[in-house]
Order: sequence, then C-alpha cells, then structure tokens
Amino acid sequence: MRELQVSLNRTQKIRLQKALQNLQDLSSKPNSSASASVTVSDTISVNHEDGVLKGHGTSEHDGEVVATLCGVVERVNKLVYVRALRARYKPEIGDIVVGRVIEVVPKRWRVEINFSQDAVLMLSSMNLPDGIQRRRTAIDELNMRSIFEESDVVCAEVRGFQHDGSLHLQARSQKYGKLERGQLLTIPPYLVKRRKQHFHYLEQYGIDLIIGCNGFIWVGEHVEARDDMVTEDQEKASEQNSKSSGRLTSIGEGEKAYTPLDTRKSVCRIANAIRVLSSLAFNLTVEVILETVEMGTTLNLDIHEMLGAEFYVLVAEQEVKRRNSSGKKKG
Amino acid sequence: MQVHQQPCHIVYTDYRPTPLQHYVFPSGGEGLYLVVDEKGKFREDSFQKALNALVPAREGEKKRENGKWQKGLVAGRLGEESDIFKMVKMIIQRQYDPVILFSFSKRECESLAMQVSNMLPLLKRGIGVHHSGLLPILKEVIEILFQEGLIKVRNVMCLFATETFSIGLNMPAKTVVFTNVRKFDGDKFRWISSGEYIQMSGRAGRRGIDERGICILMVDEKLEPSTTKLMLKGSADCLNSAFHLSYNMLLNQLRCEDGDPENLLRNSFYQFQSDRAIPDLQKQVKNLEEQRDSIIIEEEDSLNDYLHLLRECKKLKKKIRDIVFSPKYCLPFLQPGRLVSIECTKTEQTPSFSIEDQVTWGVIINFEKVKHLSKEEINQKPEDADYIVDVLTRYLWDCNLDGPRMKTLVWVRLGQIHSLSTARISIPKNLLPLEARENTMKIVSEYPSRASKEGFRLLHPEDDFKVQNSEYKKKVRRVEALESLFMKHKIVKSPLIEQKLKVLCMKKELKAKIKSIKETMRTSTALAFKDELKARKRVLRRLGYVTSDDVVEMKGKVACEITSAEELTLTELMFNGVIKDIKVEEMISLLSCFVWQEKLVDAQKPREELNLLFTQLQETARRVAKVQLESNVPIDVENFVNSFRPDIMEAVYAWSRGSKFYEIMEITQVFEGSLIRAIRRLEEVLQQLIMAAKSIGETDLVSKFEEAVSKIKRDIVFAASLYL
Amino acid sequence: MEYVSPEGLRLDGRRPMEMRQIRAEIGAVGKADGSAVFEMGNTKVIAAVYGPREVQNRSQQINDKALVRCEYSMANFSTGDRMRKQKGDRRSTEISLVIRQTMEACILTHLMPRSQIDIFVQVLQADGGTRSACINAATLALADAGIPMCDLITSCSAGYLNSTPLLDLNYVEDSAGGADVTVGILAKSDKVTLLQMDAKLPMDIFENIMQLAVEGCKAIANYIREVLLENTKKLEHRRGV
Repeated sequence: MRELQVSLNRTQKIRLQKALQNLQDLSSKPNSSASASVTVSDTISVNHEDGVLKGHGTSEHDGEVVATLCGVVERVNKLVYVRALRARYKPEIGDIVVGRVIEVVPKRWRVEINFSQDAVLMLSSMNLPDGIQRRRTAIDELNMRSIFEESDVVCAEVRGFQHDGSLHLQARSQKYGKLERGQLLTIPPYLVKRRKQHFHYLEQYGIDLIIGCNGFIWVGEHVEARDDMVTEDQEKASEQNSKSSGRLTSIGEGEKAYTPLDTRKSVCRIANAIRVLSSLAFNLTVEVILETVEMGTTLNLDIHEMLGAEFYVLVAEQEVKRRNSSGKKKG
Repeated sequence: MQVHQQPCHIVYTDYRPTPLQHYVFPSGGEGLYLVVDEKGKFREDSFQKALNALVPAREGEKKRENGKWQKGLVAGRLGEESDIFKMVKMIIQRQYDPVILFSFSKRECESLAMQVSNMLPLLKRGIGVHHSGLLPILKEVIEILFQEGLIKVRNVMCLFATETFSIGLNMPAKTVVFTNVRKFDGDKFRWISSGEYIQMSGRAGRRGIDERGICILMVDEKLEPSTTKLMLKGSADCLNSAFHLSYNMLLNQLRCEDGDPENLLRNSFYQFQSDRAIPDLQKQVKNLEEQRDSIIIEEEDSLNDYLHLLRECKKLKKKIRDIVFSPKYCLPFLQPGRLVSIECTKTEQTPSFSIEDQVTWGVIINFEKVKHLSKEEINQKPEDADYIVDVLTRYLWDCNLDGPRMKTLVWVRLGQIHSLSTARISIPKNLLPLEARENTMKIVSEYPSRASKEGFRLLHPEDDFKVQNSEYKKKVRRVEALESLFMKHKIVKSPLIEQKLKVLCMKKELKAKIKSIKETMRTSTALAFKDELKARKRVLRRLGYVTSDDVVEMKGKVACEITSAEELTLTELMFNGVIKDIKVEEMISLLSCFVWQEKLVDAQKPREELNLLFTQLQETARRVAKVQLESNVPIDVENFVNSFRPDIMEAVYAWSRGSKFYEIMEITQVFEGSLIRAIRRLEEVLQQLIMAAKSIGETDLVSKFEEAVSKIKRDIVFAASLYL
Repeated sequence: MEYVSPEGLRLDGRRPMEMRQIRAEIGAVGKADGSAVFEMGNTKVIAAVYGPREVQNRSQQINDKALVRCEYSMANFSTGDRMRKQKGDRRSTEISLVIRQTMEACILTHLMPRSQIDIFVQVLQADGGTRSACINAATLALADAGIPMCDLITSCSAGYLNSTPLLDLNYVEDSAGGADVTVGILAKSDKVTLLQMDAKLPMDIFENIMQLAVEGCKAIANYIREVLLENTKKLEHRRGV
C-alpha cells in the first residue's frame, strides 16, 4: 500500500473520507482535467477530418487513436497526447534533477535519476574543484572519486540525449554538485510541477530544498555559495589519507562540519511534511510544503507525530481549504 | 572579459610583410596609374590623371545611372576592346600573375570569365571561376587547383572570384583586380567599404614569393579623391556585435533553471560594447560639466533674453527674404552683371551676434533652373522650380575653408541671396583668366563705398519687386516691432556684448552636449534588447509556447529543436497538422521555402498542389507575424511573409522524387551551389524536426521525416568534401 | 467424482459459466514502480513491476527495445501443504516464461530502448488459475508503472469436466484431470496471446471452451479497466491543479 500506513480511528476515517470526497468534488467540475482521464486501450475521440498528431501515450489502432497509458488526455492544437501520472521520470533538457551516483567509470559517473537508464555525468561537463576551465587530464580522471563517490547524492541539470541514446547531465554551476548533510526523499515525479525555480533556500530554517524534476527531493542544511570547493577538496584529501571510510566520521571530525540540532530537526520536519503530502498524492510545491511544516509547528507536534494519523487527516483537510480558497480566487 | 586567468599570447605584425601597390585602371583608358605606393602614400596627381583618362560611358549607358547600377563590364563592349580583356592581357604582359579578379555578383563573375575565354579559346582551360553558386565539389577543385598553381592562362594563373574567395581561404595571388568599385548590398549599390577592400586586397602579394602585391581598381566613373582615399587607406571594419535575439535562443534559455535570457543579454558582446563606452562617456560628462560651471556670466538672464530676441528677429528676416526672393518676384532681376550681396554667415558654428547680417558682395554671372530627374517636376511652372545663381564673389560663402580666398564662381541658391542692388556692371566675356576675374572683383569690392556716392541702392521689395503679399507685410511689421525692442533692451548698451553672447552660446552648447551624452548613457546602461525581450516573451506566451510563469510547454520544446529555420512558423505548421497530412515529397518541397533565401526575379510558380501548400505556409506565417506585431515586436508582416520563397519548390520536389541533378537544374534557374546548399540545409532542418517529433512522441512523424532525409540525401548534393 | 451437481452447481456453488469473485488493488508494493494484488476467489497473487530501468546485465541489453524479465514464484504458505520450494524449479520457470512472453506482446518495448522491465509475481494463495491471476496482476502492475502498452492483456481459464464446460477452474477442478484451457487475450483487439491446454479435447468442444475462456477474459478486462480508471481519476483528483 503506497498510502501511509496509519491506523485511523472512526472519526478520523470519516474526516479523511470527507476531505478526499471534497477534493474529488472540487476537481470533478466539468471541463476539468480529471474528466479526460483514460486508461490503456481507451479510445480517444478526435476529429479525423483534419490531421491529428499523436503524441506520447497514444497510438493508432483500426483508425482510432488509442491510449497506451493511464493518464489524462491533453490537446495542443492538433496534437493529442496522454499525460501519464504514475510513471518513471521523463527527462527534458534543462530539468534540475537530484540523483545518486551508482558507479564511477572512466571519465564519467553513472547517476540513478529514476529514468529508464542511468544518466551519465561526464567529468568534462562538471566544474572542476579549482574552478578553472581546462582540458581534463589523466590526473583529473584519477581524482574523480574526490569529487563524487559511489552513493553520493548529487544535483545536476539535464543536458540532453547523446546520439547513442544515453542521457547526459551537466553540473556547470556552483549550485550543482554534491549534496551533503540532509535527507533524500523520493516521490512520484508527476507530483513535481515544472517551475522556474527548483532550488529553494528556506531562510527561516536554514535549509536548502531542492525539488528535483525526477521526483527526488533533497532537504539539507543550507550551504553558502559553494565557492569553497577547494577547501572541500582538501577535506576530502585528508579524509582519504586518514583512510576513514565513511563520510559520517569525517563530518563528525571537524567543528565546521557539525550540523546544529535545530537544523537537523528542521530537516526532519520538512522531510516528514513531504512524506505525508506524497503519501496523500498531493502536488508538491515549496509553498505547500512550508504550509504543512508550519501547521505542524503551530500544532506543537513532535517530529514523529507528523507521520501520525491525526496530522495525516489534518493535512488532507488543509489541502481542501487551500484549494477552495484558490478556486474562489480564480472564480 | 576574462580569459579565465590564463595568460594569452597575441601574435601580430603591425605592418604588411609584403607591401601593396594600389593602381587604378580607368575604364576605356589605357594603362595603370599608381595611386598608393608601397609606403602608403596617396598620389593625388596620378589619381587625377587616371580620372582624366576615364572615357565616359556612352550616352545609352548613362541613362541607367539613376536606376540600377550599370553593369558596364558585362553589358559593355565585347572583343578586343573589353576592359577585362585588356586587363588580363596587361597582366600577362607585365607578368603580374597569378591574379584574382574580384567581382560582386556571381553572374558578372561568370560572364567576365566568358569574355576572356571566348577571346582566347586556346586558353580556355586556364581560367577559373569561383563563387558560392558553384557545385561545392567544383569549388573545392578550383580552390585546390589554384593553390597548386594549375589554373593558368598561357602560364598565367587567372581566377575570377566573388567576395567569398577573400574570406576564410588562404589562397593569395600576386595581383588582385577589382572589376568594380561598387557592390550591391541588398538594397542599394554602394562603394565597397575599406574593410572589404582590405580583406580582398589582402589576397595580393604572396609572402616570401612576391616582393610586393599589386592591387588594381577598375574604375568606370568619377571618384572623389577623398572617397578613394577612404576606401584604399581606411581602417579595417570595426568588429561590431550583430547579436540578434531569436525565439529559439529565448526558449532554450527559458527551459533551464537559471536560464534567464536577461543574463544572456547581459553577457553578450553587444552589451559589452555598449558598457565599455560608459566610463568614457561619464568622463566626458564630467569634463563638460566642469567647463559649463566654470563659465560665469553676469546678467545671464537678460543676456538670454536678448539672444532669444536676436534669433527670433533673424528667423523672421530670413522668412521675409524667402518671400521676396522667391523666383516669382526676383527672376526678372537676376540679369548678369547685377551686384548681389550674399549671406556668408549661415553656418551654426560661427553664429553672429550683431543684428546686421554679414554679407559679401558679388556679381551675378548667370542663373539656371535646377534640373530634376523625375518627370513630374519637369512639368512644373517656372515659379515653383529651384534656381541656382552663378555668382562671382570674393569669398566662398562658407568662409571656414582654408587656403587662399579665391575669387571664385560659386553657386548659390535663391535663399542665400541677401539683397540685390540696383547697380549692374559689365562683365568681361571671358572670365577664365585670373586677371579678368580680379578686375571684376575690384569693381565689386569698390561698390559699397561707391554706393552712397552714386546713388545705388538695394532693390526694394515693395517698390521694385512689387511684393503684394499680406504675409510679407505682417512679417515686416513684426520685425519692426522686434527691432524697437532691441533698441530698448538694457543689455544692448553694455560693452563687449558680442563676447558675452558668444560665451553664452558656448555654455548653451555645452548644456546640450551634456544632455545628449547623458541620454546615450541612459540607453546603454539599460539592457540592450530589453524591450524586445519582453515583447518576444509576450509572443511566446500568446502562442502557447510558454506558460505565464515562463515554463516551456510542448510547443516551446518543439521550437527549441529548430535552429535552422524560422522556428515559430514551422512549429505552427507542425501543430496545425499540415506537415502530417501531406505526402513526403510535398513536405520536403514545402520545407524548402524555409531554407531558400535568394530572390529569383522570374521564378515560375510551382504547380497547383504545391502552391496551395505554399499559401497555407504564408497564412501561417502571416498569423505568426501578426501576433508578433501585436506584441510589439518590430516586424514588417509582409516582409516576414515574403521571406519564405517558393522558388525552388519544384526543383526540390523533383529531387525528392529521385530526379537526376542535371534534370532539376533544368527546372530552375538558380546556381548549382545555391541549390545544393539549400538542400543540405533542408536536411539539417529535417534532422531537427526528427528531434522535435521525438520530443512530442509522434512516431509517425519521426518516420516520415526520416524517410524524407533518405529521399534527399543522395548523390552529388551530399558528396563528401575534398578537404579531409 | 461429480464436479457439477445435477442442479448445475459446481463444488464451490458456482454455475458452470460463473467466475469466481475477482478483486484488484493497485499499489500494494510501495517501492515498486507499479504493483497490484489480484484475487480470483481464493487465489491471490501480488505483482510488482520495476522499470524501465538500467539493464543490470549489460550483455543482455537490447539496443532497440526494452528487455522484459519475469519472475514467478509461489509463497511457501500459498498451498495447503507447506513445503519449501526451490527457486527456479521447472514449473515456475515455465510459468515465468509464459507470463513474460504474454506481457511482451502488449508492452511497447521499442519506446524504451536499452532498458529493462522486471515483473515479479508471487502467488500468495493458490487455488487454481494462478497463471491467469498472475497475468492479470502483471497487467495491472504494468499499467500502474506507467509503461506504455498497446492493449490490456487479461487471462482466464476454462475446463471441461462432467461433459460440462466450466469457467475459471479452482484447484479441485483443476486437479481433476480434465482439460484446462488457459487463454490470454488482448482485450480491445481481441487477439490471443496465450493459449495453453494440457489435455486432449475434441475440436468442437475445445472451441466452445475457448470461447468461454475468452468471455471470461473480457469480463476481467472490463473490471481491470474500471479499476485503472478509478485509480487514475483518484490520482488526478488528489494531485489537483
């Protein structure tokens, strides 16, 4: 069961049901997107008089346009396509993604980003620690592990598909790169809406929130402009020298690497908010997440209580309120 | 700009290792005239001689001067007389080979080569032609042959080329000939710029082989020495950013997280250039402001007032004169020998502050109507026409010219006449000898002193000219009123009024200058293109390429892929299903409109079904253009629509159906090379369309585009380059 | 033994043409890309789909389409007599292959080149017709995972006992030794992708039985479609705008 396993008492059950019913009523108004839902092999009605462009999730069968996915039918001029809901991530150039390094291979890292293949991050599409643009030498290749190791969490931008069909990433800016001291959460990618901004610095908590388009969300301690990559590099070097295997120990070592308890709590709160929202399958935006976190703090809930039944129901009810008010604004 | 903290070495020489000699070959003349020698000295005398040797073009050809520039060399004399033939012969005789002959049109280039080769059939095999219209492979063959020294006319290497040969190829010759000094740059014929001249003349003189390079300019019309100097000795063209914001660029920026198009603009070379000028401008402003503040004038307000009155008064007087000296009134008095006073302080730089105008006396020699070229003006009444009066006078009317104050004949317009005298003197028949002019002028110069004695007076507007104009009278009264105001003005009595006025004017000028510099500063600190960026974003939103939050949508993603054609129109065509509906060959033919830019004058119309598609394309384009116009993008709708040319639709249609290349060349009149380039570009567009179709997941279209690629990508059109 | 009573009722009280109660639930496995539980009477299977994802064994990678793998297993507790089964015994290998081939027929593998799709099905309770249940569960899980398919594949079995065609055999009927026809069809295009029978039947009777099984498939397809549509709608409602 993907939905959060919470034991609801009777009133909570009724409240939740009512909230969800409300949501359904809200979005099942005529002309809403949900009314255009289709499942695999459903026929999509089109005007065959003039040409039809069959986009993603459609195919032709006996002269009819047929859906090949479960999702929502979208139309742009003559183009008809099905916007899939639950599916793996479909990369688009320029997307911000968070991923995990799977493998370090010559000149490149393989990164898992919830796509049908591992993405490739070339050493050459990565800003070097010293910040100088130059040809990558054999020494750079040998030192690749000082930049990213296996199972590191990284943030990058989708660069595009190569001719061989592989997906390439790039991390050519200071804000991309390794993510440390935080939590990685995975949610279905369809809950992330593409926006102008996917990096968020939540000042009040001192937290960086990166909502990757691929459904990987990073909640971590805020890092000041990552110009100090050089020092990080030195840190790494010393770490390697001392042969300390885990990063955890190296973090524990330095005073600088200490994450204050409050920050850690905030990370957990935000992470739990995201968990609740995603288990309710609500759209995730930075505004909704913050609202949920704030609700948790105003109710004086402990971090773990945020995953409890009561909060779960409350979030659902909150969502109803929010959509109601936004619907009114529009109306 | 920083080159990433890396040391950067610039290697350059600031002199030409092989010096250049510039010659002029006047059309119809014989021989060359050295105009600029190795040391870069311009020889004025030799240039004048060259121009004198210029045989004027025959009358018939002259007629065309006004309209299209005469292609004298092409249409001109054939045979032994042809200039180009003489030129090549001379080069052979003087052993100035190898030679590159530049002309500015592909057709001219070919026909020139024909002229020479027709004359000398024996040498037919030794002449090369090089221009962008050639088959790419032939072009490469010629380049290689020329480099290897195999293009020869009786052991003389001779290549006819267009400007393309001057850029990007390292293939120098000993001599470079310019068969023309004007070129057509899209809307008019203009002199070639010094930058272009440098680029082309730079092909002359092979380092280490020739002692010096030779540059020959074939001139067939009079050139001003200054124009020539500018052309021959001017500096290279400035490197100016030609940056232009495209929708594709914009979309590609928008779909990246921090892809702020404004950033792109801010980091553009264009912005850099305008930014760089700012500190300089600021300095200027500061200097000027200091200067302005250092000028302190007593009684500035009343002086200002005075100056204002003065100017007003002068303006009125000028208007009165305009009425009086309109041809209607003054023509009868413009007899030869009449003394005339001419205004000689007309220019802004030397403003006068007295109420009296500065005039100089002269004598009328003749007057004539200004000839106009358009027919309607020829039929004008004599009263309305413009007249020019020949006046012998002591001064050039604009006195700022240096040199001896010659007693010259000047042309003056009626407006410049200040007044006419009642006196007339007899003028010698022949004014050419200096003496005769001196004598005449002597009489003229004595006139003012004699005037009072002998009772000469100025011709009076009302009494003599019989001006009965109410407008005139009103103005006269106004002048009188103003003049009385002058006299009463308190400032008028103060000493040194002229100097004070001069200073005031200077101050005013400074103020104006500061204002204009500040204006340029303001526009350049504001982001260049900012308004255009806004307008273009509006277009994208209206056409549904991006959402209101600037997130790129489906259509935007398609347009992102298209870089080699007009992205908006093509995307619209695709989303309207036009491309999907038609046959592959028709689609290829339709797409050819996007890649063909040359204008064919007498291109045949494509057949019915293709024409129908083209109309659809035009409709789409018009719609796109209108949306752009409504969103305040500066665009000419019809121009935009007409930028899609149907000229090669038939040819490309045939090509996609498997016709041989020579067959399609029979269909259309375009140059082989141009057609090949278009088809290659078409393939590029198709590849981009494949990516676009993939991005929307339309597999049928993908295979359609792939089929199209396979249909056109064959044979000579895609032959591999000879350069490895 | 009498499998159909004179009143026309089967051992579990069904009519010959009656299917068992079916129930489907989407999203049973949190970590999987797609998952479903499918029940036919007492038969209960769970299916989980992972992918399309990076091919694990590079040598198996196919350049122009996705690699589909399937693993079928039975939980130890799924049958009456609890016994430890080796993984990869002949029966489960065979069923794995059958399911894989059946599902491959509907997955648009060419849209996901160089990737791998794993289908895991496990029988939680076995009461006959596990093959069909597995296929139905796999279809649901694939659809849930958002994997493009040209059609929905559903499967149902039918048998012939006591001279009566019976739809959807349970374990007792299955092991009676009569014919057992398992059919898988592409629901919309009415094409057969799976047809198995492990006994002999006269042609005319076989045709009847097969027709019966196809009817069963269609009924299941309708149910599955309903479930999927409801799920899609729910997700879209929840997601909001």
